[in-house]
Amino acid sequence: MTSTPDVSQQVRRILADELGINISYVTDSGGLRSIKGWTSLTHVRIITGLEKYFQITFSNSELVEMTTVQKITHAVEKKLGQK
Amino acid sequence: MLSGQDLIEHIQELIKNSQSGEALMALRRGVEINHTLIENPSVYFSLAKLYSQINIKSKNKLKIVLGGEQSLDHVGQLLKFFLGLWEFDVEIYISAFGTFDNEIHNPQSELYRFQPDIIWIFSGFRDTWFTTAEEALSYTRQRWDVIHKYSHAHIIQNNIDLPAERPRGHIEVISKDLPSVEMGHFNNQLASLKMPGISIFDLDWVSSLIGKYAWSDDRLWFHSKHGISPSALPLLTYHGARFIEALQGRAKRVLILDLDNTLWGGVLGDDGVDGIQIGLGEPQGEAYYHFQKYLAALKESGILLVICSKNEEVFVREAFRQHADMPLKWKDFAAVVANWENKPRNIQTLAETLGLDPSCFVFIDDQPAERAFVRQEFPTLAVPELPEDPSQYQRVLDSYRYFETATLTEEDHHRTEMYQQLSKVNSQLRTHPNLDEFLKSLAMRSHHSEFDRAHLQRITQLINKSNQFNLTGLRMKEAEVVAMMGNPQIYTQYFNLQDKFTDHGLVALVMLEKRDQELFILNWLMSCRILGRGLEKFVQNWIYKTAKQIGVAQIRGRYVPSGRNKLVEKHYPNLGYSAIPAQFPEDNEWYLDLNSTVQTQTVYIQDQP
Repeated sequence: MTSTPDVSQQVRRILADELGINISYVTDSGGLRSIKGWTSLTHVRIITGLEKYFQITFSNSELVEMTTVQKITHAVEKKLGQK
Repeated sequence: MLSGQDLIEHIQELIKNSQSGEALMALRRGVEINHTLIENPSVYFSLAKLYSQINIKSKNKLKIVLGGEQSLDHVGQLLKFFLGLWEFDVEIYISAFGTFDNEIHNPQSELYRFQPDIIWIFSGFRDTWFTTAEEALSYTRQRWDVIHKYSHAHIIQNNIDLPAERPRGHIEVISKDLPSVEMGHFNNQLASLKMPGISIFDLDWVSSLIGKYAWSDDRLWFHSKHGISPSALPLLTYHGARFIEALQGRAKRVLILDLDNTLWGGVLGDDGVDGIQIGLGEPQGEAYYHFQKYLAALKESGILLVICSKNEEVFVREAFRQHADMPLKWKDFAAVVANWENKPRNIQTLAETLGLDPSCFVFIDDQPAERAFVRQEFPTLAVPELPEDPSQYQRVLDSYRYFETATLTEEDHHRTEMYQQLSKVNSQLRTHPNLDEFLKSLAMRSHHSEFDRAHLQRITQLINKSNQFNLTGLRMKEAEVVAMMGNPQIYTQYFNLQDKFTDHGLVALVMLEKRDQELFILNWLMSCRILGRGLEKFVQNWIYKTAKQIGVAQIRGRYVPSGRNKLVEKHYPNLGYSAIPAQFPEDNEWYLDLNSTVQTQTVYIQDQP
């Protein structure tokens, strides 16, 4: 499954803002612990930041699975598709 | 007003140009002006990160432990940020998850090695496991006892943020033995304990300001033990930082108020007393009426209200005396400055008259230009961003939390009266041709005694609040004062002062330590509002008498410049002490040889048993 460039770009922007890093460090394959500053603590802020921006809500189980940029992008797209 | 992103970029630019001072100032003012951004956690975490890149070291070091059974790293980050804006250099220690109770029971633990000034027991409904309020209370008190056994740190204790969910709904308010009811009991009982060295933080209030549903998110608790939602963290930590600021004696004490379109609608000089909008029955008038009511309540809690307005004083006096619906009265103001001078100059004069530093002032004005002028001239003076709509004044001012108090003392209620006396007596001091006659005419009396439990809070407050008449600048926590009271080598004394106008209350402290053949003055401090009365000489006579009774050969005192106590630079030589030849220029010690002829000082204060 490939993601639409628009959503992917917005997700990367939000991740960069929440982590306080340049967007070029937020690569699709990167994720929890491999990207600087992305810990289980900042994870919570990333999730709530995405929810606020896209006006969506993730479930308890999705929270645990969204551990890479790619997985997050797919999860957001899935939510937006359901809207 | 800037957007969060604009503010972040502005600060980034200043940091890039390595303008640390400007960056810190811009952050402080940016947060103050854009106070409504407090609902946006992303902005605050970005700002906190930028703050950590600013290389400014403050002298006000503060070590804080956050202890609890939940993830508190985010709380720590923002707490450090807010306190940093107000010139505290904060270090935070958070116990590894689940180890807080082990750490406080082990005197060798990392937590105690950190030597905290404050231990904040950050509990909440998420980590509350007890079934009855009594059980919870006894558990909480055990924690306090063991901490006070091994540490002098001041304790901040959360009450419980009552949860949103109630299995039995509305009936729970009248039921017994239900968890939410027991939590409510616990909160009430906690509030009534009033233990020295412990302050209660009303977490439940903060949670209700946010709204219970938004306050805590089950998913984030299950996921990583975050008991508080990220969106609630800026407001929570802002409250916490203001609370700690108050604990350190740095809360604001004076509120400077504009008049036209701030305390009433319209322009007094143009519309006349009958034309201004104030009072019930008309929406705009009601808005100002309620704002004045709120200010009156602040005044009752010990905040000094001061008028600074471009107006004619006679009209202002007339407005407060004649208008029937004015909640604030002329006598509620500690000082009134109504003239056509620019406001910064008037504020400077006020600071000098009241003997207070502008950093404890808050300035309220409906005009953005006046606010900007004052912000520019006084970097540390607080200037809240007032909205255009007067119906919002009360809530906005309240939300800034400038006037937190971490403990209550009796004198807070009488402060305005005391400062009014001060301005009255100060003007007499300047005009009275014969000072001795004047001092005699005041019929002053002083009751003094060694430190005791009953005055512990006021003593600790004075130690931490007085800046100008403070020989060493030494700050002490309540627990340290208590420890000193039990030391047989230490002689303490507090002094009250009364005159024919008023009772000034407890206004001076001295702490002495016997070291071999000498009596060393550990610290000596006085409230600025009674300067020029000769109380320092009265205290000196007591020290002299005490030294004679103990039988030492000399008294030794020390002056440590703190940046704010230049007033007492010549305190000891003025009292007849001689300089001890200094090995280093910063040694500033003085002695009084008791074997040579020492004269007691002439004072016009009578001993009052």
